[in-house]
Amino acid sequence: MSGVELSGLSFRHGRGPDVLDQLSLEARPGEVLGVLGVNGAGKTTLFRLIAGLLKPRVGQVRVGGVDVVANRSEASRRLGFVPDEPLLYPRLSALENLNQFAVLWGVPAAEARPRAEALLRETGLWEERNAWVEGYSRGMRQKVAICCALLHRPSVLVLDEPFNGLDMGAALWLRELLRARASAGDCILLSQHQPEVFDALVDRLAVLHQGRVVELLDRAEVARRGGTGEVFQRVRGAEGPHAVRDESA
Amino acid sequence: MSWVAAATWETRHALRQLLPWRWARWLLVLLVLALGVGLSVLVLFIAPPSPRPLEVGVVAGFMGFNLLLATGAAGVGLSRLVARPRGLWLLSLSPMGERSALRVALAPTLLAALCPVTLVGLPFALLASRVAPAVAASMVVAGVCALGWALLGSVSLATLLGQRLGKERGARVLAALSGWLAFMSMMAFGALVRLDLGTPTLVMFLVLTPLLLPVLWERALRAFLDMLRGTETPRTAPEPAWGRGGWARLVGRSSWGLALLALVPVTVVGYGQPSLRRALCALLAVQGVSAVLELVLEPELSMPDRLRLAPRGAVLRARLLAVWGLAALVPALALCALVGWGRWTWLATLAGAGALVPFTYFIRPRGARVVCQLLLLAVALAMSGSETVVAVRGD
Repeated sequence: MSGVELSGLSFRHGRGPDVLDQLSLEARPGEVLGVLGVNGAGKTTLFRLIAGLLKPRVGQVRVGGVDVVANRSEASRRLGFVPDEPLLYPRLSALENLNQFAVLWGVPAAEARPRAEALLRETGLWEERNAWVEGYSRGMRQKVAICCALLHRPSVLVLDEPFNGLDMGAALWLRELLRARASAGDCILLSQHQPEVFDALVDRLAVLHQGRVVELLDRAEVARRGGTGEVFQRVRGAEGPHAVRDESA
Repeated sequence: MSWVAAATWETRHALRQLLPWRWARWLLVLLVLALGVGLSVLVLFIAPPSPRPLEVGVVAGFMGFNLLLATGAAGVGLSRLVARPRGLWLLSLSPMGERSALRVALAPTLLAALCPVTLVGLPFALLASRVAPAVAASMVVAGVCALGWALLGSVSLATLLGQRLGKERGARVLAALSGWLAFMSMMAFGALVRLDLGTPTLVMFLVLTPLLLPVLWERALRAFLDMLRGTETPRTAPEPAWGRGGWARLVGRSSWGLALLALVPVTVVGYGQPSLRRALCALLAVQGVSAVLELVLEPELSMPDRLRLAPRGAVLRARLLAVWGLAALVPALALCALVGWGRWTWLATLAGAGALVPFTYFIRPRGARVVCQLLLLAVALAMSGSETVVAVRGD
């Protein structure tokens, strides 16, 4: 089973400039690949292209060996996607949301129920399972969104800033879960703005700058360069006056 | 930041949110002006100033009309604030303080209430001032008093609904109720103006307003602020029916259902008028179906990525459109058949237009979808108009 393959990917919004420019990248099964970049580097666009929510101008996206543009439905079955804004139904409870996602992803009811219950217990949401999601805190919503993405047991996980809003317990749970899924052979792509998350979690780090992958570093190389924070500072340095102004401040 | 500047900014922001296009805002102003002038002329026709002077009863009737219309308009304006009080909390962080922030946040509501009173009342008062200046002046004073009571009424109603139904649901119900109140008061304009309440009523109203309104307004404002500040008890749901989608539950939890139910009495009244029946049938067959589909698809239309991402998204959306579209179309067509049995071309046109409505939901941009639905409605209405002419000639 293959992970995520991106080859010669270009994308632009309308007639604007290229957000992604001839981007090629591979996330292998069994690894956690972190995508790093400043705001506007194209991380969210890249993830939406992998999810099939956007169509590339040029190039190919394959998820689990399936072409996303040609066979989006099959690719979606292999993909668990947590966008930056959770795709939940605010007027359904956590349990109802999980049921709804099971229906949307075609998970049989007999399998969906025990999986949903297990996920809610693991995330500590079991006591609030019947409360409407609109009353949840940001962190609780994020937990439900992660549970929804995991419900159909995808082999590829794409997570756009999944640690945002999570309390320490939930963050540790997610870290352990992602490591366990990677050890089991799943492919995981994630973006996050906290460098310590990358240091603790990722096997490889792709640095995105102006729509291109400018660096692809393994864990050892990241450590040799002083950690993700240092790598990020270098990318910011390449931004020019903005970074200079920040440093002088 | 001065009060006036803050209130002006808040009002402009609210207007731009309501109508993002400049031309639409101007169009609205022109429409309201035209309405004001039209209603004034209508009043002069109903109660002509010559040969007898304007009566106080007309003023009282006008005041009652203003009161109802302004309450409705203020309620619609207020529903925004109740649903999303974030702007208010942002203002509260400024040095002006919470209560002043609330007054600034209420500025768009005041404008909404002021519009009908000013644009409907002032042209009439100007026209009336030629023959009865004292009555016209008392009308302006009564209009201002009515504005105060309208604001009090809408704030109290918003507080009550917010406390009982929760802020978001309360805001939607408030918007629906206020919209209907404004609409119904416009429909009942002639009757309200003819309603002779007498001089004592008007005098009592003018005397009691300065005595009671300030006290009641302070209390209402305090209760409104408490409602906005209050946290709501989390709402819970029963165990889901595993393996079955929750769209029916979502429809039950939407307060737009109440707004749709509010259409029933109007429809019943409309069917009592033979000249309106066919047009109402056309509306029911096209707009009735689209209203039900909007209600069902509301969560998906507001977050379209979910169905696009889900492997079964397209199938489930098609199923929703077919099942709910049919459920809305069948009773509408049954009613049409009762009205126009034997007029097969008309019935076939309405059935075709109604059946095409669900297909418009495959058009992703909202503007294009609404244009298609309006075209279908235009075809259905045109057919209903020509059929009415044929029927009248036949009779």
